[in-house]
Amino acid sequence: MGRSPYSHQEGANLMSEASLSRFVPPVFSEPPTRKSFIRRQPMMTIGIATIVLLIGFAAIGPWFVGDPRATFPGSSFAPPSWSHFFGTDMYGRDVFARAVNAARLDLWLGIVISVVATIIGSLIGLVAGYWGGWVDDVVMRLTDITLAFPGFVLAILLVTVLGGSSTSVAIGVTVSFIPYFIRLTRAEVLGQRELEYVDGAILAGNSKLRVALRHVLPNSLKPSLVQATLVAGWAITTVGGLAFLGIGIHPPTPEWGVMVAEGSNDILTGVWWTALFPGALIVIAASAFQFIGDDLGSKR
Amino acid sequence: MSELVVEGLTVGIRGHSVDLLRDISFSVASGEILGMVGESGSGKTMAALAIMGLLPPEIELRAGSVRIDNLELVNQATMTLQRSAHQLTMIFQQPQAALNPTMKVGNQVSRVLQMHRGLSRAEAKQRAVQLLDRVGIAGPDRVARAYPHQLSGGMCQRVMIAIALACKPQILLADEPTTALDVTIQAQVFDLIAEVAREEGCGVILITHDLAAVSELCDRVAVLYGGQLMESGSTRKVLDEPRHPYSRFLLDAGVRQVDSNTPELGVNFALTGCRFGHRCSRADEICGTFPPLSALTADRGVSCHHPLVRLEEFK
Repeated sequence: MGRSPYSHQEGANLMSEASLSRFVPPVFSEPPTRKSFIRRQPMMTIGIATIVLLIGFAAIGPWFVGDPRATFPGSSFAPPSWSHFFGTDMYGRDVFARAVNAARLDLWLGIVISVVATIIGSLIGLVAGYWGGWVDDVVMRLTDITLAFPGFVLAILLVTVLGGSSTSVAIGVTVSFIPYFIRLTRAEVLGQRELEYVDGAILAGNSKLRVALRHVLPNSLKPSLVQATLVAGWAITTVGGLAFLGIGIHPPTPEWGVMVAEGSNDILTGVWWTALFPGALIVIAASAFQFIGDDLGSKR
Repeated sequence: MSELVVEGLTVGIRGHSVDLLRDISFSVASGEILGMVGESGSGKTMAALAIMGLLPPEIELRAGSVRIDNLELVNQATMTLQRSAHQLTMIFQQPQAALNPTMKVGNQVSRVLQMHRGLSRAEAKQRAVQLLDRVGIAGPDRVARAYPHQLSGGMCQRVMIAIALACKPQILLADEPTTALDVTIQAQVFDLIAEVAREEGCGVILITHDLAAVSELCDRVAVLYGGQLMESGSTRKVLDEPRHPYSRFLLDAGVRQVDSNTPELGVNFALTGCRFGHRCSRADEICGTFPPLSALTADRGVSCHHPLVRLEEFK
């Protein structure tokens, strides 16, 4: 008969003088194991890994693939193979070479747009929220007007006015995203400026500008930073969407949206690879940023 | 010998005739601790904010004078208060909310030192650690590199005191500095404030609900109710022989149930007379007019038409 080590007799023995010195307190619960970052935030991990991979490709890829604009009329519409991973298009251009070069432009645009929109939007939001009064009224009404346009339509408008170049696309899309950052930061600033540490900073003799920049702004940035990762993804789809419509970035520039637009005509003839691969890359890049943003936003 | 003198401080909501603080006068000498007591909503914090020039925009300063060493801080033309951190500084109720969550506490202290003592960055860093040590923080080097959320409430309050000290203030205003703290820490923080005041020679206004602490620490006491200064005088005199019915009531509130003579009603700010009139068993017609603060002795004032004469009288 196997006796349980936790029976009463055993418990009594533990308390006897001889065994007291060797008494080890019972463990009532498992000590909390430190779950790895990957286990805790799988989506974030996938997102970051994808982005790092894409950026890596975009950074060094263009030196390893051929000229994205070189045409080979003899080998048009070659299906994916070991010599052309993504096949070739109507002009015999290597789709893989074009996609890798496009990654550089698209990721660069996505990140620059979101960073610039975050910086400008947060600063304007800070001014509106912290100074209040008529400044706030003017800024918020302008923001409302801008938000009344669907972002994409506003971007079309701006890019059309500014003319077709990747710089004008960057400016147009950035401006269409700025209002979101203004609203988010202002809302946060309104809450933060009432907290005592702001009074404390004023009491300590900090200037108003310093209180705003050093104390209120860093504490009001969290929602904007989450939004920034989401906007990086949206910016890529917006840039691609504009290019697809023929606004801003034009062929033969290697750009995912341009490539999808060119390839969309080929689908009917059974050539699926010219549109599918750049399209998939847009989806992957945008989703990866979305994954990061979602996990950042849901963190306590 | 620096001295803070507040005279006739009157504060109200913009666009309303009602006064939130009415004709409040008191003074604090350097090295002295003035306890400011009264129930919630009595105007203690409002008085503190008015003196600090931190009134919210919808509240206006209507009258009054705040002087430090005969230097007037209130601009009588615009009724705004200009103050510098080495004249007056403040310790807040919620120490963790009063520190910037995104800045290391050492930097928050050294930044103040850089501003007010003209120290270089490196010197200020060093002095900050010394100050943290001075306010009784164990392992000040380590704590200086911590963010506020990594510290306990008591530690944060010590950091706040270090920041206040860094300003070298003539007057330190502590607004319920222990309310948010564990009871075991409260006494330590009170003692620290008293010790600091004695050693630095600054005057302290201590706003608190803790009458036991007041009787231990404070040299003088001011009793507020409904934005009216009810009574002021030396701690011993006011606590042992309160002359104002409200002081009596406040002292008794801790030891016995409020009796039927004193109905539990909120402050009625619309009263033109004594703010305690509708709760006071001694009130009569004359209490419908505002009782001025009458000096009983050089050091003792009471704002009542019918002050208590003997201890037992109100019971």
